[in-house]
Amino acid sequence: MSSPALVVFRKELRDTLRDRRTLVAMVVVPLLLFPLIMVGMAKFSQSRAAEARDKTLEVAVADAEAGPGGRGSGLAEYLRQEPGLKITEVQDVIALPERVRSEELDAAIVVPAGYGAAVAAHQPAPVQLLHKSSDDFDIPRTRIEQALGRFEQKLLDERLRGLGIEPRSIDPIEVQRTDVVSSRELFGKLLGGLLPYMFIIFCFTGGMYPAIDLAAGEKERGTLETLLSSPASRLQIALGKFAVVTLTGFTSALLATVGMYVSVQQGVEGIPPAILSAIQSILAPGTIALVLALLLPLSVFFAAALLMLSLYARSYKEAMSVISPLMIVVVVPAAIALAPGVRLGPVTALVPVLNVSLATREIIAGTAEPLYLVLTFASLLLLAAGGMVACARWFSREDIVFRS
Amino acid sequence: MIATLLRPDGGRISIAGVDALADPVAARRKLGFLTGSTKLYERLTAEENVRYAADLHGVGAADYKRRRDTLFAALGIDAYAGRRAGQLSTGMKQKVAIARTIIHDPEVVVFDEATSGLDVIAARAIIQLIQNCRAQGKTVLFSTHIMSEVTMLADDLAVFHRGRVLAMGGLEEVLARAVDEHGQRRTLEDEFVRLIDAAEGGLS
Repeated sequence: MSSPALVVFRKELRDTLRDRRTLVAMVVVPLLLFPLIMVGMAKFSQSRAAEARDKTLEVAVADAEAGPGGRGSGLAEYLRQEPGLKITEVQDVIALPERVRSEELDAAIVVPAGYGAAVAAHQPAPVQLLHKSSDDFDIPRTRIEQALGRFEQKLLDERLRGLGIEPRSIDPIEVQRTDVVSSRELFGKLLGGLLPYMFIIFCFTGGMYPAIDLAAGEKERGTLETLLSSPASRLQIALGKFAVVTLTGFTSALLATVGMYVSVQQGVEGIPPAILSAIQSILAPGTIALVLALLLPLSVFFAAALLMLSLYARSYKEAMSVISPLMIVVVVPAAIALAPGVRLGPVTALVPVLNVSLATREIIAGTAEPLYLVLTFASLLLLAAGGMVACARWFSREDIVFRS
Repeated sequence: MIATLLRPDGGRISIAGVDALADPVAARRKLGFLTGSTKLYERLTAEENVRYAADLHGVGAADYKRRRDTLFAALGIDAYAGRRAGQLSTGMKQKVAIARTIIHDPEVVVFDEATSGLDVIAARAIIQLIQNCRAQGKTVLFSTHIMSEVTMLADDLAVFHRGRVLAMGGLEEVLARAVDEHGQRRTLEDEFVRLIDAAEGGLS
């Protein structure tokens, strides 16, 4: 013979697992979302970047110094030697902005009158670059600027040699950069910003539909009276339902982790091997276990809040309209953690959701302070316990359960 | 209140000797509760619905099997025991709800407007159940607006209106008092309407 709380738990779990909507939100979406996002984003960004890098850029050069009697700046001739650039010399400067805007040209370079005089006078010679900022990571602009930079260096070398100076001699120091950031730290900051955000949302949405179904749904369907007139106490009923909502929320986050872990371990096509290897080292089982340990009390807290609101609602529809905006309340602290400079400290470790978000980021980056992790965990446990007690009391209140 | 869903402002409720206010859980153990608006869990099968009620009441496996076999055979549930409740007709659902109500063999059974909105066949199944319960010596509390059902089933009755008891006593006793100014006996329905009209006049 089982405890009534366990009986309620088993029944609610079975009932929940037969609900297609819950299964999609709890299992299918979390399990497939990360692999699809990772593969999709990697393929998309790689193909766009490669396209922008390999594309032959159409560049018009309008050189006021060229033409009959003029010597020209020599820029067009120089750029013709650069790989991946197709240079056309034009006279009509007025039409250039529109031709660039309409993407007939990738860029245009205008060498105004006075260029030659400025060069001769050892003054900065003006050159105008017309370009259109694109979503191709601005690779076309960067490529043209690099070519212009090499042209500038050539002129500078000529100028210095004309003055009898060896160009190398004007560099008193040569800075050699060595970035000591570990790949774990570097990608940990990136991944650590995104992952908790996703995990927290899954924790919430995974428990949302079961919570609505098990309280407001049960009220609406007219089965709650039967349950409440059974020998199970209100506390036992609350505990049984509460455990199912917690489990579904946590399972959802867990499946998201599994989906991500498996896709990374399998090696997502499109992600450079160095980055993939760094991500694999970040997502070690120990790191994942630590992150999940933080998500468990958060799931408990979410379950309490969701179940209480659902029980307060008179119908499934009302529960949806009350609970859906709550998603914003959950997302905002998670998003704050993405802001630069926000770190896990004695205050932020006590703010629900924000603390999980920050702690996850620090764990993934390998920079977590054990003291603040303990503080985060303790505050979450307290919150979870408070949520459980409040939820159980909520179930004992006639004005809530039979609200009409 | 009898099912301990709501707490009364005053008075006392005793269910088979158990104080329902002092120990609601023990009181509910002795109670079977069925209303007209009671529904089944649609994603569970007929059998699972009944089993859930039995588990909540702590019915052991052997007792469950014995009672389940008897009830399912009597109500003809075996044919659709494995089907989900959402796929059952109203009459089938009502029979499953009956089995669920009495699977733990309660001493007291409450039927709150249990036949309202049901078709004749389903309503007759409830009536039959009440008669069976009565025959087994169980206490049956039955609330209804259909006076023919009262005449058919009740030993004792009370007429309630707006929270007040307008008449109470044995069925024969109440009927014996139901005599018009010409000394003619009224039907229970006429007496019921007269009591309500008188109360409304008194209240207004």
